[in-house]
Amino acid sequence: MGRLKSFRRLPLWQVLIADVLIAGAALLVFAYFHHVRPSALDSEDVEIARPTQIAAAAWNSTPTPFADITPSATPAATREAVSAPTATPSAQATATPIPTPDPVGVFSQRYPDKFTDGEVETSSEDGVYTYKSKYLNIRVTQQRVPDGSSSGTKESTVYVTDFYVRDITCLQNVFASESFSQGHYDWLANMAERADAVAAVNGDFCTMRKYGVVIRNGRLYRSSHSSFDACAIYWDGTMETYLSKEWDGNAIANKGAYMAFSFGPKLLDNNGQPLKKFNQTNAVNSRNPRTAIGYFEPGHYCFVTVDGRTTYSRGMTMSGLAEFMASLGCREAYNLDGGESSSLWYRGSIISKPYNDGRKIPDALILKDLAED
Amino acid sequence: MKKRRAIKLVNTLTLNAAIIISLMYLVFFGIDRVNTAMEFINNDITKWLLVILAVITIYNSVARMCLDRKLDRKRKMKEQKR
Repeated sequence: MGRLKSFRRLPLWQVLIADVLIAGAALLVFAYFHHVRPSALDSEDVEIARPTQIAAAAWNSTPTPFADITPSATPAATREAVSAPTATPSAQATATPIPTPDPVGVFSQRYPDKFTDGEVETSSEDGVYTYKSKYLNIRVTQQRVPDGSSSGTKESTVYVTDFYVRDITCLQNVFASESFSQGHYDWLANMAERADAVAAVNGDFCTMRKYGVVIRNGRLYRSSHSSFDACAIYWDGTMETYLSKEWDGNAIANKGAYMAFSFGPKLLDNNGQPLKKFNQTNAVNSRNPRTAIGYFEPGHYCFVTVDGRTTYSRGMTMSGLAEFMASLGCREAYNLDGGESSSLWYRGSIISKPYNDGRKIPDALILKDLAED
Repeated sequence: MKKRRAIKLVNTLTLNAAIIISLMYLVFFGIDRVNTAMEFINNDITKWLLVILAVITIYNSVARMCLDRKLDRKRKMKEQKR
């Protein structure tokens, strides 16, 4: 009893302050175990082979020029800058009959004028970068886009990387640790140079999460469902986006996915029109740096990178990004990781202006020429 | 006496643990609203923290009910003595 009496109680305010400090320390410990400590992720590690049979639906459909898809209310100047280089080749592709189709995921006959016989043609004029090779056709443009604020005076800097791939495997994912594991991060430039890429953007930070479908480069790492929207690029070059309640990881894998993401949100509806509501909290919808992938037709896609959180470029809301993707003529569009992660690397340097000079990321999407057989 | 001391120590620890874990959850809720993709709430660690918080809260609630009844009994005894 004497011992019990000798125990002197601290004043209540001191106890509460101690609790707050201990909670802070506990949060640091949590952060270490949650996303700092490198650890292997549960991986199904199943290869999804390239199908040998051609998906007839994909090949029978004629390529759709940008102009055929109703643009949204984005300034005409913005639309012209991107649509001009793509409209003519699509029309040519329509006029040229395809005698024997390419193998699945090969688009050399679909876009015969988009690729060279082996030489590499590059140009860089007025902030427009182009790259044309046997496997890739890339055009990077920089635009100032109104951010849709009520004042109408603010603009954001947007980089559109419009690209055609001869083979779907020219679009690849790279992990920081070259394996599907948590806690490994690297700079986008390092990953792109290591992979001998031509262009690269940040991915969806997929190793951060324990749930959600992850398929990269034709390999299924995870098929579990999550509350996020999903996006799948199939071996035949088609890309589909799904609301969280619409997708099943195994079904996506069985359908022949080459890539699958579970991050989002999905930006366009089934008619290519911008969605008004997104599968995200309102906080995420605020103006921020953004990265998104858009789909025009098999073998033809775009990356969109938006600078943000600075005085010269505030960033885009999710609604603004959706409207911009629709204005480009994308049939499908899907948001990737944004914020400090959002960055665009092109032939040796980061050409966007990432907030706080960017940060190390766990995964990236790259465009690269394939090695000759 | 040792038993009473141990119970007192457990009570003190569980009360503070409830405050600490609750504070952590308030932080998780806030940052999860800002960045859902990081899965601050929907992960194995926070799921187990939630289980611990539930167990602690049940213990604290039962202890508090016991204390209330004990105080009531004491009050009634005092009134009867008067």
